[in-house]
Amino acid sequence: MARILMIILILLMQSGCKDQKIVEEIGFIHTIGYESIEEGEDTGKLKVTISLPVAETLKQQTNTTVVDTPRESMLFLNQKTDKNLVFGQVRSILIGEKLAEKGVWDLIDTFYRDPVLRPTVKLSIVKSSPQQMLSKEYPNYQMVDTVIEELLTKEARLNTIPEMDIHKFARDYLDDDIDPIAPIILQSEDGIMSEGIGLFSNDQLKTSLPGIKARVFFLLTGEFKEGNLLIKINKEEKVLFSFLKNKSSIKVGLNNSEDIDVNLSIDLKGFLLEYQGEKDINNEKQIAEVEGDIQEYLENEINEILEIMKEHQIDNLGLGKYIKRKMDYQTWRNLDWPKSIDRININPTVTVTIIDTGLIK
Amino acid sequence: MQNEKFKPLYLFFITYMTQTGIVLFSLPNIIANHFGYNGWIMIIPISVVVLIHIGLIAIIYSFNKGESIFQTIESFNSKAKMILMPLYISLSIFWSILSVTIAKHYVHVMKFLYFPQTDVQWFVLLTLIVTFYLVTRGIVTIAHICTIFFFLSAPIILLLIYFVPDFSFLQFSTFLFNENKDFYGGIIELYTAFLGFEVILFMFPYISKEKSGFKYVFWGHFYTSFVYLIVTLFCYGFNSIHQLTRQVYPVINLMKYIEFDFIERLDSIIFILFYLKVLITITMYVWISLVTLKRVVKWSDNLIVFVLLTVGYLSTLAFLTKKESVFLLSALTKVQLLISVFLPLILLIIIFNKRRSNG
Repeated sequence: MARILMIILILLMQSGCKDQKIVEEIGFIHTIGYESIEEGEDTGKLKVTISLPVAETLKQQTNTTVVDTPRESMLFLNQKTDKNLVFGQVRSILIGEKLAEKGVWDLIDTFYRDPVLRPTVKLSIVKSSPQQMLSKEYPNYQMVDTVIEELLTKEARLNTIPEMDIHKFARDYLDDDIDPIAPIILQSEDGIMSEGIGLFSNDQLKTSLPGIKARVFFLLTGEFKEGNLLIKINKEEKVLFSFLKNKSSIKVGLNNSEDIDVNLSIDLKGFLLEYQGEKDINNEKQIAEVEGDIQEYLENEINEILEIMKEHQIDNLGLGKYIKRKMDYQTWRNLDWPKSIDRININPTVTVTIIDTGLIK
Repeated sequence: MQNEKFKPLYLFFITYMTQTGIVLFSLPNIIANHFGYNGWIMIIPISVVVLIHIGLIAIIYSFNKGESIFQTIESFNSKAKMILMPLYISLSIFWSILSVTIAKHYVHVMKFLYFPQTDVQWFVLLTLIVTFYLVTRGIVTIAHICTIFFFLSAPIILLLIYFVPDFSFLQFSTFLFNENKDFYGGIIELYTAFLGFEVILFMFPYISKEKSGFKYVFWGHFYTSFVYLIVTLFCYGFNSIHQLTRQVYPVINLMKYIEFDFIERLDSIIFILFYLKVLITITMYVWISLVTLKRVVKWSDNLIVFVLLTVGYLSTLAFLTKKESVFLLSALTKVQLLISVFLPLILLIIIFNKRRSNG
């Protein structure tokens, strides 16, 4: 009996030897870049760039190919390298701006479908070309692909760009009450930097929110809970407002299906750490004035974001989610969100409270 | 006849482990497809109906006083044996085919998701060898192993805590069952996800007498419902509804999202741990087909199990692709649903008839 059990145990173990993978022979793709070709004889085709770390040299290797469909690229790229390329460790996908404007769902669908890939693969839009970004030699970076990944994580934590991965993009794309967003990065003189939020309508990139607007956007969604805001009230006046608490809320008032009110409110409490301008920040009256200035400034920024969304008929803030809750199914269907976003009244209110002004009087 | 008995406490583990299986991975998708917005609510009424169903079995248990259901059926009419023999044989063959199909389905999914080079027939064969050893050890050993497997696989549920920060009530919306399709088909599908409790019917002679020992079956069922409900809730809160209707295995997608600093792609480990659950489900069904066939033939346990597994293996050999095995499995589970509805009803009728004629 025991002998038979042993034989069976050995047999069972044997089946584990079938799927063999030797690390040295595998090329773990780290980053993939996609862009559409705009001119020349290959117009309309996809240019695919991959980068993979090479253990022996501690550097990255990049390969580029021109193909019709995303999957096809694997065949061609495999021929160009001594390694057996695998998708299992892909960390980020870079999409060229022009391709993003045409629509990215086909691409993301390919990744989302594949059981090998992780849904946490980061997604970002590259101004200009992902190929140039990946293959350029940078004086400060050894491997640009890992730098991109870390930049995306860090900047998302600081709330200048969204943290976007395949799962989140698919979630927002497939939902009918929100439009997806994605971070935008660009290649600068000596490195790479983040550029703000790309706003999508369905799967097409429509426009973007740079710098301060991106941070205000995250104030509205409530993701930006504490941090610093540099506010330029006018040419002479600059404020560095460091807030500790952000209470944001979105309330919907529904009178009838034609008359929808949305109240956005942000309540910020924090310190005033740096002030450049005429006002005396030790005077309480003047502090109240500064508070008013910041409020007015933020409200203006919010209104501008809303104008952009209304102009393109998109809802990247997810206001639809709040409106949906107040309606029955048929009314919601008839509303044809987000095309009807310019019909609703959105009122932002910002409350700023300065608790303290620092150690010096 | 075996005189070994196990404590009623083990019924909790047997019920839960037999009920849940690989269906858990696709359950949120089934629910989202059939019931649409907030479809998770449907788990509650279906679970209550299953509770009533288990209640019927509890009534039979209390009337039978530890007698096996075969004795009950055969005592009704001594001449009925002529009809019962072929029925027993076909039922036991059915259950052995069902268990091999469950094994095959699991291996197909495993092949698709993690080990593309796996030879399905070979792996099923290995599974059946393990099953053979489990079944021939007797129900008491199975109950003990079931408990060990439970504690190996139960902590997985704690991983849901990882998703608490990503969980959003906004995803739920206030619509109820909008965008459903084939609502009644969905009810049947969901009901079959709870199947497995009917194996308790065959265990009456092996449960040691204790006051209100049957309550552990109810607890097992409550735990299954709880797991189904919480997993589906998390899937609804983590995904948008249209995303759920597209994902074939939403729970796999959910688990793939987990990334710790020291480990990632936990889903593959979890999926392999589910093998233990599937193994118990298979073992339970092979065991009930063993006890059924024992009423007909006087062979040794080893021979009966060997014959049953061979029959099951050979008759599913023709179903090669995943699509075919899914089709076969859904057809077989529907038959099993009918069996588990009618068997207790027939038993109850027999019991009440007997009491009337006696009293």
